[in-house]
Amino acid sequence: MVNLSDWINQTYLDKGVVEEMRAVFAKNRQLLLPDFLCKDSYKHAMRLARSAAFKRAYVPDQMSCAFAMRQDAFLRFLASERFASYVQLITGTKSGKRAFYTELRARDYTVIKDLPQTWKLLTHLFLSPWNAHWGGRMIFRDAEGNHTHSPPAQNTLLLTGNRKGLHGYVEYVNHHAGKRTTITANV
Amino acid sequence: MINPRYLQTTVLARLRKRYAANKPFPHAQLKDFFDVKQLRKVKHALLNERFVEAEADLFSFQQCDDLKHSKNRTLREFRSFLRSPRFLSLLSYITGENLSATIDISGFIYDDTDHLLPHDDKLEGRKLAFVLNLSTMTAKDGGQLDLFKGNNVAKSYLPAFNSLVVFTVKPGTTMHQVREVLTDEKRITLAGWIHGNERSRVHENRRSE
Repeated sequence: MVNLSDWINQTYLDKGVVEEMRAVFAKNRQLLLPDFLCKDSYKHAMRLARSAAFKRAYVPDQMSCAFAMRQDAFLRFLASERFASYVQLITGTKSGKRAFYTELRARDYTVIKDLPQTWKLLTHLFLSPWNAHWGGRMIFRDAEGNHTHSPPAQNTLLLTGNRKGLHGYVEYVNHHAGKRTTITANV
Repeated sequence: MINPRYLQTTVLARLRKRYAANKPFPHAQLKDFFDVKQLRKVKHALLNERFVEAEADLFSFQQCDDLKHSKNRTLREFRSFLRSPRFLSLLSYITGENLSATIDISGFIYDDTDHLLPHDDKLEGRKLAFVLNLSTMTAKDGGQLDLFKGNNVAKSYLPAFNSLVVFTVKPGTTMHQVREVLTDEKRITLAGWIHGNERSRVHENRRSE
């Protein structure tokens, strides 16, 4: 049986804090939670993510990045009913049943494809230490042309609810990243 | 305005043949194309235009307004020259394309980390894409114009001052990118598109019926 407290920072399990998060999400349709995993769990998740079997995906006019789909303990937690219900408490929508890792390095990116966006909620858990100057931000653009920018900050959860005309992409990772990579767990 | 070498019949005939045969799609790099003294004036005038940061999923660079809005005489005259029957007929001969005097042209400055991701330039009316390089970059500076065949870079051009690269726009085929600039060297260009004329579009439509 999955315990939320095995993974999630106690602060984010507090009833009052959950209420606050719910209010913020209801207003902004987006929520950013730093230090989301408790310390030891974060280290464990990071170890698992780093040992995942990544496969490169390169379609020049769509994306350059790597994916790892094989389920480990952390991905199973993110795909669990318990976690989905927790997310539903905050956002009103359950997170999905499929979790996977993405890894970005220098020269990686995704671009917007003008296709219908059928998802209801996106969950991104940024794992790796990262500097926003290296690029790789998760950027959403709405129908009015407004943008939100979320740098892949270490151990930070990003919840994004869909709305009409919303499109997201991952900003190009520039050469200042050197040999570093940023890994994100996605649901 | 044009380097006299490009007015010689034999040179033009060779360029025309090469353009059509070039891989991965019809294109040409025309080195030392314009009169250097005049082009330096154009560059100087361009750098006095107002450039703004432009960022989106596909790109990051600085761009000035289309030259048709410029108040600078040198730039307006240069644009007029590019729209002139003399220049357009030369380009038409080399490329085999029927071109109109409708031209979109802006200045671009790519700085450290700036880039333009792979795309094929498709938009109604665009017939020829062009890039006029106003700076020179080395391999360590980055900023190459890469032409794709499928998922691979098939041809790469380092920016060289006064080189003009042109290619025929074909959706789904003419995929290209500007590689990330890696140093403090600035990649400065005038770039844009020349549109086809109605007659060439009607002719193409009839051929496909």
